[in-house]
Amino acid sequence: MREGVLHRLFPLFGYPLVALFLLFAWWNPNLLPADEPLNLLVVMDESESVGWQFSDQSWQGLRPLLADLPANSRFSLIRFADRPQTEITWKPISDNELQQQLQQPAPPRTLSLDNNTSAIGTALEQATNQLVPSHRSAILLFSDGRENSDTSPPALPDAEGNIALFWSSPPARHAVNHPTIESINLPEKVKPAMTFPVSIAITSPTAGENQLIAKLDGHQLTETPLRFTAQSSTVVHHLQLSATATGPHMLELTILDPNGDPLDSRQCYFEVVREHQLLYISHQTPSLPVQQLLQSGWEITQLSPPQLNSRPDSFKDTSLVLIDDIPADDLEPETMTALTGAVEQQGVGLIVLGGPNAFGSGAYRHSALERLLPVEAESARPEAAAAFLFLVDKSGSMDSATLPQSRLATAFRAVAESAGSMRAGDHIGLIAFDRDVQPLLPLQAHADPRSTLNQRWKVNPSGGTRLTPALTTAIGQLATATPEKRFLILVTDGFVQGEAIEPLIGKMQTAGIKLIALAVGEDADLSVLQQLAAATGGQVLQVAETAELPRFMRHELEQQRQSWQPTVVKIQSVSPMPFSIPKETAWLPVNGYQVTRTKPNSTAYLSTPNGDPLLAVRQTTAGRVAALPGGLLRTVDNTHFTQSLLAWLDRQGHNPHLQLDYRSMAGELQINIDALDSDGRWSDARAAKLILETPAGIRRQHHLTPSAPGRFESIIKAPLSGLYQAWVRVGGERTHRLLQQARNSESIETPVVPWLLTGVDQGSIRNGSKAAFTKFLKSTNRGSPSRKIWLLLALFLFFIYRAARTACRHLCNTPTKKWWRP
Amino acid sequence: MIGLGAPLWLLLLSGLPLLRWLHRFQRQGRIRPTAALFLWRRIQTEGAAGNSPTKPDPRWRLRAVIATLLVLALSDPYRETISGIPMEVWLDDSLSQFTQEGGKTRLQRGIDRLIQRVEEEHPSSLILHSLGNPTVTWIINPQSDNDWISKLEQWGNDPRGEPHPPAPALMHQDSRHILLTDGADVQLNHWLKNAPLSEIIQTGSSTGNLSLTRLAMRPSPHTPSAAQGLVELWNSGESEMNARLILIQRGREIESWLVKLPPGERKLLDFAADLSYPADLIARLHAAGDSLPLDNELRLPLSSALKPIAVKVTGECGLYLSAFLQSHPGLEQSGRNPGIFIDCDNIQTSADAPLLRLHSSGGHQTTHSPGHWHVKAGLRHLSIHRGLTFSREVGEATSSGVTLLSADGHSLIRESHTPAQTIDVYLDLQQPGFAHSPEYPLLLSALIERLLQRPLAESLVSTSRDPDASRITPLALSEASNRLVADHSNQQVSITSLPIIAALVLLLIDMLWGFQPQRRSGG
Repeated sequence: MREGVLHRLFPLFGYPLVALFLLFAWWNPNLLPADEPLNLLVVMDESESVGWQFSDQSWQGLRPLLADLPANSRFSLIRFADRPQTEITWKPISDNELQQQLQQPAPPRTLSLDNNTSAIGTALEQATNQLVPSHRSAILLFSDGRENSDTSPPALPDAEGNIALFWSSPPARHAVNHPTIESINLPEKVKPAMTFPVSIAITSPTAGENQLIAKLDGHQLTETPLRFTAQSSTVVHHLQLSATATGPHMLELTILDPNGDPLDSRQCYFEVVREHQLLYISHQTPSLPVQQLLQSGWEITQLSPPQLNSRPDSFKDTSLVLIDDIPADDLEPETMTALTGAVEQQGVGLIVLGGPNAFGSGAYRHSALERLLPVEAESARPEAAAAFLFLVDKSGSMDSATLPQSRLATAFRAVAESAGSMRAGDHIGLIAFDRDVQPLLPLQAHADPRSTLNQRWKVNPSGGTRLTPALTTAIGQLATATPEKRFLILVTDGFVQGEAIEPLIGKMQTAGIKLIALAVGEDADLSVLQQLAAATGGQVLQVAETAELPRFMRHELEQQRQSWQPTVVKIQSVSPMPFSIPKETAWLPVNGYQVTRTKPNSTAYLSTPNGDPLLAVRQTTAGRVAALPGGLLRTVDNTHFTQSLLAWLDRQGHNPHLQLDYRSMAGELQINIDALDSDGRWSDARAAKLILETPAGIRRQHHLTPSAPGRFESIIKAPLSGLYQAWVRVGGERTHRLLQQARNSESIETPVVPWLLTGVDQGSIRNGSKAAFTKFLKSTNRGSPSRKIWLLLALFLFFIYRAARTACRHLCNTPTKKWWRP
Repeated sequence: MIGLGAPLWLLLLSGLPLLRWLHRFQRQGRIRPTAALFLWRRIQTEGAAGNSPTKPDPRWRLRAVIATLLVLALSDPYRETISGIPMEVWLDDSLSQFTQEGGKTRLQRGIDRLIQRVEEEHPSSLILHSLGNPTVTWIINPQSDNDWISKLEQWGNDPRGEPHPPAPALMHQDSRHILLTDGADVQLNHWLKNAPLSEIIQTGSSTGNLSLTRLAMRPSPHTPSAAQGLVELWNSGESEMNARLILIQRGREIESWLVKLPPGERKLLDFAADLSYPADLIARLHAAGDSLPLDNELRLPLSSALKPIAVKVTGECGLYLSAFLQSHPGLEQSGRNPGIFIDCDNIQTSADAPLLRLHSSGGHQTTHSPGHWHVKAGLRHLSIHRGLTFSREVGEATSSGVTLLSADGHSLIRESHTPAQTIDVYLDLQQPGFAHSPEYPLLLSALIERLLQRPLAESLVSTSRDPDASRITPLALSEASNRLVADHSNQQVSITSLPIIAALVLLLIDMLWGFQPQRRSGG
């Protein structure tokens, strides 16, 4: 029977079957599942709403997934929050280093990300740009789909294309199981001592009891129990806050669990600003239209210079300082330091009104106050040179050990400080005397009077005082000096021994020498000095306090300069005002003014007919300073002008011509600056300078170019959360603003980006479960060619057939009818 | 040159002696009918003389050849050639590739050179990738597609964008990769240092290009009918260029400048325009020696950009809302092409455009605490005081979305996507006390701005061009020549079909041999 079957089947199917197998081998159809490599790109969201726990779990789940990938597949990993960070760049899945990394419980995290922000669009765009569309690839996105960086939607892969996008989201919507601060409503700016409401929304996924701690600038304000009765409930807690000190304040809110351990914490900032707070510094009552100012919201505080000196922190509570006809020396160095800081750092405005005691007459020249001003306390026109010869008494009484302060040393200091009143071309000389005459500095012009006079003089105080020889020498020098104005400044304690001075008076009158005598000490003998001064048109000043000597000397010299012009002068406009005033404004003449000159970095808006400034303004680093050497506000009958000027100077960082808006983004601050010029048109400035100070105190300068008329835009890296300070300058306009780069700006309340949901609906984004991914792997397998199988089958059958034929010849003894015999 | 991919299969040839051995017994089993037994002697004689068992059937050689061919097919024979290699071409179709040189663009000249290369090499397939738009890929088979040249010539008449090169590790290792670029893009030049490129076709030599990089306009603060504008030029070339810049509105030239710009410098020019009847504004540059005309024009769509947003109102919205809509310069009530819907009757469940749905029906109750904004920016600083009435049909239980404003635990304003962005307002916007407060118009403006996702008051219109895209000066690509030699590897084209077909033919011969009439020995 068996022989019969072989005998019948082989001739019928043997060779045809071999031929059929060979035909299949030639066709080479795909039969078995393929091993086509896959490029797998994993994109992990590590923003706060997702958290590392989900990333770590996803990473651990990748191990078996990668084990199922076909050979020669490649793997890449991108972590993202505020920005994408490529951690693994296309390694073969067999790579040893990759295998070791997969054994770790967490993905590699080489660089930190700002998890306050989630930029899914940017991450996916980077991922798709890496892939080659014609290659079989898959992107596995592990994210909750919540984005708060407003990135534009990326071009999603075609649903039918080679690149498949899978999205795997955390299993539960709430990634945290404890109460979190969802949002805080807090005003950006408040007035001092103003009570303002703050509301805080707290969301809890579970029922329970917690505590909310509120701290203001590190000091605890309140401790409020929180009770959540239902799951996923939100409560809104209201607070009333107030702060008095100007500047930024930090409100810190913390949720504690029943054990006192912190569960969530937020920091937010507000700024206390003072506006319309005028500090009026004067020896007399205000000469401004006080009532009108009070009606328009100004609060006016008046202090005399001694009161101000005793309260140098008065500038903290003001937005504008007005100094009305005050000599520079009335403000003590500490007061000036505080004023300079308030103007240059805090943006406090400053107005200085002129009068008989200010500017040149107030010894402003080279003073700290003058450095703030837009004018210098000397004339812009050339002045005739003068000769100043200082005659200093160095007798033993000037340096007595019983005195609390050496009169001689103070006298030399006064001489040195008087140099500030000297002009270029003035002749200066110095003689010390007791019984003898000791010339210290010959009378002549000196290039730098200040450094010339400010040196340590080698004198030996001793003996009595003989005035005649000293005066004779001094008169001799002055009489031969080139300048026509000649001053002899005598400093003595007045213990002049009886000497005949009459011959000297004649010489002094002949030479046109004016004596300025400063008698130090209350017991000074003034008779001789008064006799001399009266004869020469000079003056004798008794300085009771030795320490007052420099101020007296400086003041008297400035008086001799005659910078105060007690004449009626007309006002003329030289530049358009930087603020709006009625066009028909009529300027009344002023009854006297101080001669000054405008500094190069300042602008004069009003002046006298001969060009002396009457209103000049300078912009410091933060605040504006206006100088009115004619005391214009006292005489001008224009309340609108006064209010406009005060409002324009009273900025406290807010400049109506310059507005800075910002938007907190993913580790960046998007900054828009809109600038107007003085005419109210968009500024045509070609650059804006922005100085940004980070919460760490590091300042960086940025130069912005215009993107539209009056518009400057920039996106600046701001990875640190907290309070940034921005100073902006466009043309002559400046402003200052606090910028808050919020922490925890991305949360589970951020909605899922619509384009991601649309992609799921349209099928271009697939479910990222393991089952779906495995199904994808199987469904897209293209099958492996089967040629070798068919060839082996053909070869095997060929041999079997030949062997069977041979066996049949031996075994089959039944004759058959052969119709075919290969 | 011919080779074997899997030569170990040749070991199977060791079975050939077995085949020969099998043929030794071919005649032993043959049945020979005889008339009488004495004839058997003769058979033995014949067998001793001609049918010795050590002498196999001569057809064994044919069958050995068949078996050998099958083993040969198993060992993957191949022929080394370069004509069969798939060619993947990465086309830089950025703006600078459209620089005109010799009457053609750089891209066209590059494609001409590519066509020459394809004709020389006859690749099995040609895969074209756009670097500007990574989703654009063409596959052409030059060996079977007679129209492949014209297809290639049709590649891109417009720039697709700045290059986005793929990860070098993902580029097919068994393809010849060719980059077609002018080398003007710095980023691309960094990429090609790591990319497995076989060849770089670089075209382009001209450097002179003056481009318009920005055109912007915004109404003057005090006179909205007048506008201030700004136009920016950039000389990205290497020589000073002279040009005439004109501004055109309604077909008329409204402003012109003669500009001289040193190389590498930008220039900003201010202009004024009338916005009484806004029409599109075109800035056009005419420069001698400018090789890239595509970046010489910018257009501001003022007619559409400055048009107020059309608001379609359904239902009875009350006096205050109507007054708000009429007084807001950025909004106009219109039923045609609405940019936003305002529904005051709560009847609209979904809309194509953003929807502001005001709920006024149902009983009302009053808030006892100030409103709390649950958003992070924009609306947060708008203070909503206590004592406001709101609809009792507060939707936190029924509607989806998130709460924007709440008070006393109730959602007063909610936001959702249905699918257009929708804001449901449960606050009573018709209560006079609230409608007369400064917060009323601010709240409505802020909600509409949130729906539109842009500021209503912003009337700045601008358009710009990436200045780097206008850089046409080719950079030196030193890597190209090295790759050309090093990576010009051959492709192994399988010739397995040849032994299979040969085996089939021989098998057929062997079969036909079997059909021959049976010879009867000895008679």
